[in-house]
Amino acid sequence: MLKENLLQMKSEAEKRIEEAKSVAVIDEIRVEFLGKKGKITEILKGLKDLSVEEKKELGKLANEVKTEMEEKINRAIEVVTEQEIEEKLAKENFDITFPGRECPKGSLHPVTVVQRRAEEIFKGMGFMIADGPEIETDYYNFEMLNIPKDHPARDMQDTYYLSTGNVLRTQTSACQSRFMEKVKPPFRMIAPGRCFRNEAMDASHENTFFQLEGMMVEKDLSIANLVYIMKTLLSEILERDVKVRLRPGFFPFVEPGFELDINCLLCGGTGCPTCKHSGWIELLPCGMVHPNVLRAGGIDPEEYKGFAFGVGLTRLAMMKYGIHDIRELNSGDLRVLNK
Amino acid sequence: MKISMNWISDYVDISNIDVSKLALSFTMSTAEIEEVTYMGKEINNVVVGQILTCEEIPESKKLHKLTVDTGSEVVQCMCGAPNARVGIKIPFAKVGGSVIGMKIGAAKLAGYDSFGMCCSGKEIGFSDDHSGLLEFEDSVVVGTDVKELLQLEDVIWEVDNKSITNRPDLWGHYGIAREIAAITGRKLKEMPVSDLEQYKDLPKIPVEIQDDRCRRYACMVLDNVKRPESPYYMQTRLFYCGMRAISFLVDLTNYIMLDVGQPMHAFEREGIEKIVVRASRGEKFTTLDNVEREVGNETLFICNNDKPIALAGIMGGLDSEVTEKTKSIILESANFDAGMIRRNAAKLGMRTEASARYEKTLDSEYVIDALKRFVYLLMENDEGATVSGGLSDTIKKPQEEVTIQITKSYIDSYIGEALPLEKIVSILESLKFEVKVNGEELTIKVPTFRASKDVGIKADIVEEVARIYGFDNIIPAPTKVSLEPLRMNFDRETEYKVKSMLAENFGLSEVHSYIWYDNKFNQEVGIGNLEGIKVLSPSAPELADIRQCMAPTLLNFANENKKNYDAFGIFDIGSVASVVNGEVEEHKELGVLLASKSEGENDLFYRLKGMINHILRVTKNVELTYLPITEKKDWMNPVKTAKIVYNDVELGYLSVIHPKIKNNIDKKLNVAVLELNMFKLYEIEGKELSFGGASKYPEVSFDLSLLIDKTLPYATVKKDLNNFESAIIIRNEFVDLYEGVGLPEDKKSMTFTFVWGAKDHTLTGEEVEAEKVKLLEYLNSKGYTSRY
Repeated sequence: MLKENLLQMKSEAEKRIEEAKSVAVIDEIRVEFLGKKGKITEILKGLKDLSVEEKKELGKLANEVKTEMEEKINRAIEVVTEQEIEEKLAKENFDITFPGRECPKGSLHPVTVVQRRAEEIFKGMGFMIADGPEIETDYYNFEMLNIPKDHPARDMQDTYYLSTGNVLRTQTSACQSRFMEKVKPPFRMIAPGRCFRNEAMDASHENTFFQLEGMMVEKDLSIANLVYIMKTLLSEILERDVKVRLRPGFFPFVEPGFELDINCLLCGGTGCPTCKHSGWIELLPCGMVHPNVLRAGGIDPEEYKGFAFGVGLTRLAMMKYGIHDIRELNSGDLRVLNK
Repeated sequence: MKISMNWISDYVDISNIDVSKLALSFTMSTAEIEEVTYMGKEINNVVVGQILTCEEIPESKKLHKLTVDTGSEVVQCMCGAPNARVGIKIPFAKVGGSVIGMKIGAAKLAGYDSFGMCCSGKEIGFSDDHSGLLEFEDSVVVGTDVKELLQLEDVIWEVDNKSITNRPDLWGHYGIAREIAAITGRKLKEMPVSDLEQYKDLPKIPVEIQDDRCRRYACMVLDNVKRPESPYYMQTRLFYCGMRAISFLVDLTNYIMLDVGQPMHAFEREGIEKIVVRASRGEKFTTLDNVEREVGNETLFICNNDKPIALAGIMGGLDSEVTEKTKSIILESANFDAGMIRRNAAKLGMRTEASARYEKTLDSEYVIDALKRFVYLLMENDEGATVSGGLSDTIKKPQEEVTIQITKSYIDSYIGEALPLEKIVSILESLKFEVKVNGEELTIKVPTFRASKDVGIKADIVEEVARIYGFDNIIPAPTKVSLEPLRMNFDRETEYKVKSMLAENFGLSEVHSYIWYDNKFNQEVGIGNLEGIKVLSPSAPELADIRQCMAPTLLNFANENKKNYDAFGIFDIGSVASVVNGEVEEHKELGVLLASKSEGENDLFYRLKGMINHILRVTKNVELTYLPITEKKDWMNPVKTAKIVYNDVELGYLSVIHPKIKNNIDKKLNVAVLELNMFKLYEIEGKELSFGGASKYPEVSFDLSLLIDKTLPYATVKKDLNNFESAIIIRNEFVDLYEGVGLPEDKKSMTFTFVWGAKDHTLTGEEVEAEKVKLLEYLNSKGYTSRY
């Protein structure tokens, strides 16, 4: 009797589980049959009045039915849950093209970007990064660089002199001597920074601009080395293989001094209006460090040689970003700077 | 400086050399040639013509009807020149010929046929005179080709003056010719000169140099100079080189200057008894351009006894000027201190051709070379001229001789390539260095024209050899270097980190600005005039003070950008400076400005505060404190301003701008600024990050609101909470602030969360309850009313 009941309940439950369409319905079935007061549970409770033999037989059957039913219920829940997710996803309306929650877009100054990249390249080649004040003494800006009073070089650069007797540095070369006082050779260093020249401003002239001074001092260093290293460095900075050539150039802190030209980046050297059809563009001054400068820095020019070069960072930034008016860089105008 | 290739050809044979290629070689070895111009190419079929008849015509007041003899025919020609008259010989451009900018064809003028054109000096490029026809001397033969007669065909190089500032020897054609000879390997010809020995017994003008800034002074007296105009070739060369032909005598002094490189001056002989070179006593002086000048007392005068007759090395005086009537002159050739000339020429605004040369430190041997050359060219071109006063030569400072000892291996190691010894020697000798070879050792005597300025040390010899050999011929070579660990610049890393965070995390824009204040803006906006270290020659009067703060500049930028943006944030790391205890103290200062029309100024203040706190946590892992400021700047809101402090060191300040200044910029634009001394930031010793230490046992949190007086600062409350001693506290956190409905008017409510936990066990309910009681008792004792 109980056995039939059990089996009947089993088939009834199974049928209803199969038909169930939601987790809630299945849960109801679970409670109805397997809950604390569920139908199967009740039967199991009734077992206590039966004989040992019957208990054993029916108990086993009841447990089997219960386990089987539980499994079926779990499986059904899995299936139904999956169906529910599928249905929900199918109804989902989501616009992936809707704007994101945007973060405010800031910007670094073009010169900072170029300077930082240059510093990374130089660091990668073993150059230390030095800094110096923008308000310099006459001593570091001129005297130590072999530019004594009355030297025409002081004419070439119109200097901002200050009431304190200082100058606004006219070149980052002023960092050379400061560096040599601190670091013993051999060394390689660069000193990027702001420089000042008292000149009338127009689209290509600023009284405030950035340079990068570079200097390398070794026991064995030649003009041939200078050409090689400049070529390698410039190829890295300009991100292409460049040809370089040296011409005589006069700067009091180097001997010999050079103007370094690179093959024109626009025409590649075949000649165009930008390079005045010469195929070459004047890029930077450089040279073998003048013995007086080494001596002023406490380095014996008989033992060590050096070379130095100056890169116009502002000019590089203008070339890289196609900025045609140099004054825009110090304008603070966000229409120009926040790009 | 302009260089005539015809002139160069007097001294070195450049035939069969492409002059534009030669210009490139010159650029590569000596100095930059900026431009190569071919002169006279346009002038064709222009001959010496003679005007045979000259008739006025009724149709025009200006035009004349001429007949001109061209040597091969007589043609009719209409001419408007005021000096057209019978008999004169003029340049005549025939039909089919051409002059500058014009081809000549048969034409009809005022109804008359015209076959050809009579030309002015300007039309054939011989001068800039267009006032009338160029009139030739009567001796020229009709029909002669004018281009050849005047030597109009030439190639002119424009040498970049800046690239020869260190080369006093290159300020004349002979010096350039010497370089070209060395570069091309051709022979440099001797310059034809007169021997002045022949005049040594003639009387001499007495000369006295009272000031050794005149290093040498030489002069001679020349008489009976009758030739009015210079030879045509000379006039053409002078014009092509940027000068104007004036008269034979004056032209000759200029010609020598462009030839030898030595400025000369001719004085009217009459009235001069004794030449005295002395310092100015500040007297006024009228130069030959008829301007009375205050010359100051740092310059030198050339005097007749005591009366100034020339401003040494710069310009002659009006009184002693050579005129058309002059027949007898004192010819000066002298050498002055370069610095003295440079300073005075700059001060007087008189940078003449002469002063430009003197300031390069000329070889004082040129003094004599120039006189010899002058006398030679004078005698060549004016048969009647005589020398009546012999060479008077006074040397105050002899030209120093320079000898350099150098080894071949030094040259090789400097260049990075071993050149044959013969090559080294031949290069140096081609540049007129005297070389003695002793094995590997070279003893080099530097010619005076190089020793005066640019050659004095071994490196200079290396340069001479390398540049003539060709820098381009040196094969690039990698260095042999010792491997050294790279020393990092941590300050720079920090600077970039700060910039990156501001731009990339917080969305601000970096700007660059000037190191000086803009006091015009400062005054307009109500900040007032700000003082600083003075720039002595500022670009504008209002830009004369070096800034001590970043905020005024940023406010200026805010004022510009407000037109285009309703909200923005900008920052700059710049230098600021002041004088502290007599020394210039300069440091890098970060300035940040937030501006918004929609965000309130309090919010801007706290946003800035959050940014700088975050930056300090990321770069140094430290917490900042904020204290009231006693000394407030004019742009600071007196209430909403705090100084930023770490470990008792003041790093900077944070401030909403003063309402008055805000109103002057834009009433609707809220602005907050921050400044931070980057050097002090660099000096902060960062704390190590601590990782790990998380408890395995759960934490318990407990929210608590405190009812407090409105005036009580957050920092006081927080400090009190932090001071609560507890074995199980992990942290306490501020949640929110409430003011308004439901609270007494003078009260505010602050809510904090307390987080408790233990490392070795799960807290029991009893422990938590005991902690709450303890905390409430503590707060009570501090006078807080708690609500939870």
